[in-house]
Amino acid sequence: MTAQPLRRGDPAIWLAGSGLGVSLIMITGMIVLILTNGLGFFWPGRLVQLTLKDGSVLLGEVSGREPIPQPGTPEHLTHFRTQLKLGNRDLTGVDFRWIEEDAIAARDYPSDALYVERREYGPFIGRAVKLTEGERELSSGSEAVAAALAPLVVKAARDRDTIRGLERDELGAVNYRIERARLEMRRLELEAESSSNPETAEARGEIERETAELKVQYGLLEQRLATIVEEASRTRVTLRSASGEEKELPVLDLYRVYAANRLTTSQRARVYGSRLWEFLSDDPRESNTEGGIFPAIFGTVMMVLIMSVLTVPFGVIAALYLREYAKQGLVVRLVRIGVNNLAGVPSIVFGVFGLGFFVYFVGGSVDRLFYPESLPTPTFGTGGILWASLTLGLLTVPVVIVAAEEALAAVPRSMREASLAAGATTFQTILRVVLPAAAPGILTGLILAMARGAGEVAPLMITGVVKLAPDMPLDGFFPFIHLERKFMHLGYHIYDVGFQSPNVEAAKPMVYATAVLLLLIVVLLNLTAVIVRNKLRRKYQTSAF
Amino acid sequence: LMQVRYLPQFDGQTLKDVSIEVRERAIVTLDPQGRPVRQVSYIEQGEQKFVAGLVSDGEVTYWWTDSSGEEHRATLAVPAPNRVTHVRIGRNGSVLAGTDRGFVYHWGLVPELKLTDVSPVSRTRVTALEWMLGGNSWTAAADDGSLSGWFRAPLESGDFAMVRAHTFEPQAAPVVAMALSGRERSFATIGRDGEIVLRHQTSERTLVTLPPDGPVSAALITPKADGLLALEQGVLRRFALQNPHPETSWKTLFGKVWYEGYAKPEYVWQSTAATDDFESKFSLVPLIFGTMKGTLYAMLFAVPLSILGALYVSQFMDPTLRQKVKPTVEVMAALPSVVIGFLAGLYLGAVIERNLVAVILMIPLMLLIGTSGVFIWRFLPLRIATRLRPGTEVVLILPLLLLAGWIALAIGPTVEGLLFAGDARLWLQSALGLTYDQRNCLVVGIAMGFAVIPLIFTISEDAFSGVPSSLTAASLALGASRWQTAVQVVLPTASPGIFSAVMIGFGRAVGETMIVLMATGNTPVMDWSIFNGIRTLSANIAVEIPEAPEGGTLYRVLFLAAALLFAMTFVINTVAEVIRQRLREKYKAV
Repeated sequence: MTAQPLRRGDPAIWLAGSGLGVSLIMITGMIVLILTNGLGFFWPGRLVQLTLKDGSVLLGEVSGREPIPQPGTPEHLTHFRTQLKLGNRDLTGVDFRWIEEDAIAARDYPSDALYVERREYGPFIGRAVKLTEGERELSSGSEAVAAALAPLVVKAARDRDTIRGLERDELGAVNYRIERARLEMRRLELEAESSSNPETAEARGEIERETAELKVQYGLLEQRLATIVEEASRTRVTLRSASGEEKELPVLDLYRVYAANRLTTSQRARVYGSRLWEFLSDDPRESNTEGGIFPAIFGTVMMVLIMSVLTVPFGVIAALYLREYAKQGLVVRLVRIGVNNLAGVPSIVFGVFGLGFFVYFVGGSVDRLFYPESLPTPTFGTGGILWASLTLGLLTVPVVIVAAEEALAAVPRSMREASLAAGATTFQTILRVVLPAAAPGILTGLILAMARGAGEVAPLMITGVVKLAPDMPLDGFFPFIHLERKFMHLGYHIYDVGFQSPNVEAAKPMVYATAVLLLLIVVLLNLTAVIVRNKLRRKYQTSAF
Repeated sequence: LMQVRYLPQFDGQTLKDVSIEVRERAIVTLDPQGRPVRQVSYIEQGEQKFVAGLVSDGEVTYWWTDSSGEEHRATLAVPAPNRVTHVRIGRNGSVLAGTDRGFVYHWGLVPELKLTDVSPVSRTRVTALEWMLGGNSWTAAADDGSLSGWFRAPLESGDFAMVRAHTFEPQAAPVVAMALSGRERSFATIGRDGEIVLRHQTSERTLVTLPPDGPVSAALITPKADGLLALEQGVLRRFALQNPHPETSWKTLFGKVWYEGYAKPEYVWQSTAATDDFESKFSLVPLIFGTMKGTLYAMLFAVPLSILGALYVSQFMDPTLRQKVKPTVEVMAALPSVVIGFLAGLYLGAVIERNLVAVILMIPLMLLIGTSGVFIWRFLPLRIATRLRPGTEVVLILPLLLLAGWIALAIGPTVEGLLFAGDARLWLQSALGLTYDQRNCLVVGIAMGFAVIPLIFTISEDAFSGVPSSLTAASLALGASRWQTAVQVVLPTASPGIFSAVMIGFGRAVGETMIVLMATGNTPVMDWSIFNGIRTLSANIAVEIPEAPEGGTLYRVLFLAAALLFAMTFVINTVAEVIRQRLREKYKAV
């Protein structure tokens, strides 16, 4: 009875099924892995206090556990060790420590243990000692300080906002105007060299006066800022680590403080939510390993939008020509093969092209023609969001062309013929009948192109993405959109934080969280495309009669 | 010993005056016997000074100070009947003496003054001898016109020996003098007839030949390497010199080059180093090799899985399930490679390192146990077995695969203990001599395979589905089983599509950047071990181009690498397209 299925090849079918199964398991496994690691990171864990047999005390969050390999001995993989996230990098120099479980004498979960997120050196894990304002002691003792801290931390966030507002908006604005005045001056100097115009001397005097005035303004603002910072830093908190070392911090530097072992589930959820919000809306801290990734999200979205604005017209016009106007012959076939081939060219090659052509050639020429005053510092002659978007545009235009061609081909012949028969010209037919009908298909192509663009990193890292861009490409200063600026990107953020940061172990959760976000964006875009396409198909199926 | 300083004085942009300052630095009595010094060679290195003088046919007197300033003196003798023609001091006080019998004697000063090598340069008289830039290698010319470059190369025993590493194109007349560039390893050789040839040391290139125009008594390359001065019978001629990339030729890019300090000619990519006299080594061969190696392992992983998967989905799977599975795999195609790459580098690398044996066991075990599902299915209670219609096998397969994965992880340590003495990595090292990198080709193979699976899967699934149902129906009606139909009817008909799917997957893997960048150590080594890292063309570009100055040699070599990548993928994609079209024509008749 078993001989027959063997001969019929049934096991081979199961083998083929297994091939599919392995692929499916790998996809699910990968997605689950990223999701749990990325989203689990924000959940506040409990703090465990370990007393070791040698008497030392450690306080931290359990972050891993594994068997100890001791090949060749009977103990091989029978004993375990625990990884503890200790924080307090400024005191001990290490964030994480592996502890052999055999060396642990006692474990407990002290209720007064605090998890303190701060501006520098990663989290502080320990207990509060006292809270002071200037010389005056406000409260002391872990419980009392923790209770008093809560409103202060909220106030600190407000203070930081005020300070940042001052720094970025007011000081930034003055600074920006000084810089523009400097460049204007330089431009006039360059002009004066080539021609002696009496008006320039007058204009230069005007600029000098303006600059002096701005500098006075700048000084005043700086003073104001200094007083605010001083005022806000007066309240200080003293913390003590598990090993007894004390650390005094200004409350202004605290981001979040919670007694990790006393939180109820709903409180934990609130911490989770606020951390998630910080991740999405804040600027990065500690060389990108903490804080948020808002600039990267913003940079990615803006780059994809610029790219779309550039690609769609080109892609659609090319597709229109190929499908509606061109005589179908050898040339068109060659062009089609070329377009298909273009889609298969490695992205890094596009990046190299973008660097050589856009950045150095076009950008360099633009600088020499329009921005001679700021040379040798390049304006457009270095990587920037415009060049990155253009490079990605080249990369994704085949996707748009192919999708648009398919969409155009799917428009029923009857519609075209009806329009032409009613006396419309070819152009009118295309504009009024064919394009609207093909729009959803073109949209699908665009969405796919956006998804590809959002996930692509290699060409960007050589045409304008940086690990930290202090100025966003869009801000409140004229001309508002700064296409020459460098920008941050989610994909590059993953690479940079995961592989170039000094403290990879501490940065890992950040990388996973960023990956979740990127994955979410890309998968959502793709799913949208799939849904749009399916809707479209159904529509034409019903309209085809 | 005198020092002459030229102090140009400028008045605005114009040169006003050059004052010459002559300063006495030291007076050295080279030969206590007071014989006339026929030739002298002098260098300073830090605080140390070295002077060597030729005092008789076979004797060189040597005077030097060590780092503490103490003076030393020695006489270096060349055995008769050799007569010394040239004396030159190189780095760390190494002395060269060329003789009229065509030998070059080399004395090393570190750790002690000793005759180390006698190099047979030619059978004829040494007519010119010069240390090259960096003072580690030298070039000698002989009366027969031959020209060779030498340096001390490491031997396997740990010693060093002088080797003839470079042979240059000979000149018509013997070379009588050489002029060195202070910037890179270019040098000019001056023939007795006045011919000046500009050459490059490492690449052995002849860059330019200036035809003879009367005898040249001396020549010099300007310090900025932008000009060449030649003294011709009392007339000083200046040639403008533009020599941007002398070190690169097709041979240095694609051939083996014997670099200074290497034991033999090799393919090396090393663009920068910390030291000043470092020479960039631009061989694209290790990178092309790395690209091919990574791609190969990725294809080994991806092709079987994706084609089996596509065959199953298109031929055997239940249509309602198919509608769910296909989009899942298609979405997998959209996963950004940076995400796959970081998982491979940060997670998979560490996991595989810990469970090497289990991971290697896992895939075969999964396929084996998955296949054995056919027997398990037969022994299931009838009530459940009948609910598993043909086409829904995968529902049973998935838990079986998970079980197989678990088994592999569970028995991994045991197998490791039995076969590899408990530590497979150590065993690899001791038994096979293979080193194990955490970020190796196994990781890249899996990660990059993962990235190309959806691509190959989608295209081949389309090809399988495109086979007319009349063909399968006919085959099934004639009594062939499902599998027989799939292999003997569907597969041949769809083969052009499958082929093109594999080619397109190959093209994608060749150009993949982020995954290799993150999942390998980016070490440009050349060996086939799956446990070593690689550096691919694409990752190399990503790593190096941000630091490459615009227009420099590195920048251009990287552009060449990009052009190469482009050409590779272009050819692969075009071939895939053409073969697909041709085979499609062939099967149109069916």
